[in-house]
Amino acid sequence: MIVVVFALLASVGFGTSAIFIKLGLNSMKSTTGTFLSLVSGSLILITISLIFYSKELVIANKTVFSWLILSALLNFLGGRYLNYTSVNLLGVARATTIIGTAPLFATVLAITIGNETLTLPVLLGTLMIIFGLLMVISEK
Amino acid sequence: MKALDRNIVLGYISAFGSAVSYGIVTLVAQKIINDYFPPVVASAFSIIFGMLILGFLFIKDIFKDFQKISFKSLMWVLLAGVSGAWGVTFWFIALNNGPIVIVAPISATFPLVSLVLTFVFLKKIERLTFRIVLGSVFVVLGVVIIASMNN
Repeated sequence: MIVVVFALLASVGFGTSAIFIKLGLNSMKSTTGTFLSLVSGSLILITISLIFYSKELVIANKTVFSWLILSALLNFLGGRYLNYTSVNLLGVARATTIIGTAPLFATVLAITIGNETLTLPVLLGTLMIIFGLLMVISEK
Repeated sequence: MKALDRNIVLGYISAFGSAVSYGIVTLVAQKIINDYFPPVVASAFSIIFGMLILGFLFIKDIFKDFQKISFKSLMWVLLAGVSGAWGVTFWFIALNNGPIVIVAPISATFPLVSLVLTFVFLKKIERLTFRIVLGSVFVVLGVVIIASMNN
């Protein structure tokens, strides 16, 4: 039961973020909004890391460094910056619905590049996503 | 093309670009978490690098905006960062307390949370239609099915 509560709290956090950013981007560009959101978010994550994982806050070599740079580019330049830009241009409802399809792209990659196979439930889920997206996009 | 149309096309390109990036980063994050760091530490390092990269690339925009930014907007944007970090933290706490087969589908419902909050708090700014709500429900159901099966 507790795991459901925590997962719901995560969902609330992700869902609320789009509302706050829509309200905040009135007087600034999405680049500045993304940067400032990273400042406040990093303070929280760094504090948690310092309290619970202080001994593991070491980047051992160049390979780890490269992976972290790639993760940062994808997560914050590709992911969050474009996320905030789309919320600003399309509105919260349309943007978050499209962004919510991210697991579909992870699955497509896992099937095309990795060794995973396309199953019937995945195909069904994909068709539902495409149908939903068509409804959202075709709305004027 | 009219400016409004261009903005909408740009918005869709940005939204799909964001979804693709978040999709790919899931695989990169798995590699980092499996081989190098606990999830929260990986997120902390990633967000620090993200902040430095964005700060470096967009320093002119940021500097210009700082001269006209309102206190209210600043607070909303900082809260957006806090709620994003809240989401990531509870996602990891949930994973520490239960299987991903439960956590992934539930956390994938965040667009519905956004819809409800849009209806409650953004009534004056954003119009919600039946079609958008139904489309979002279909997308979330599809993602929940895929997330359940993948894990």
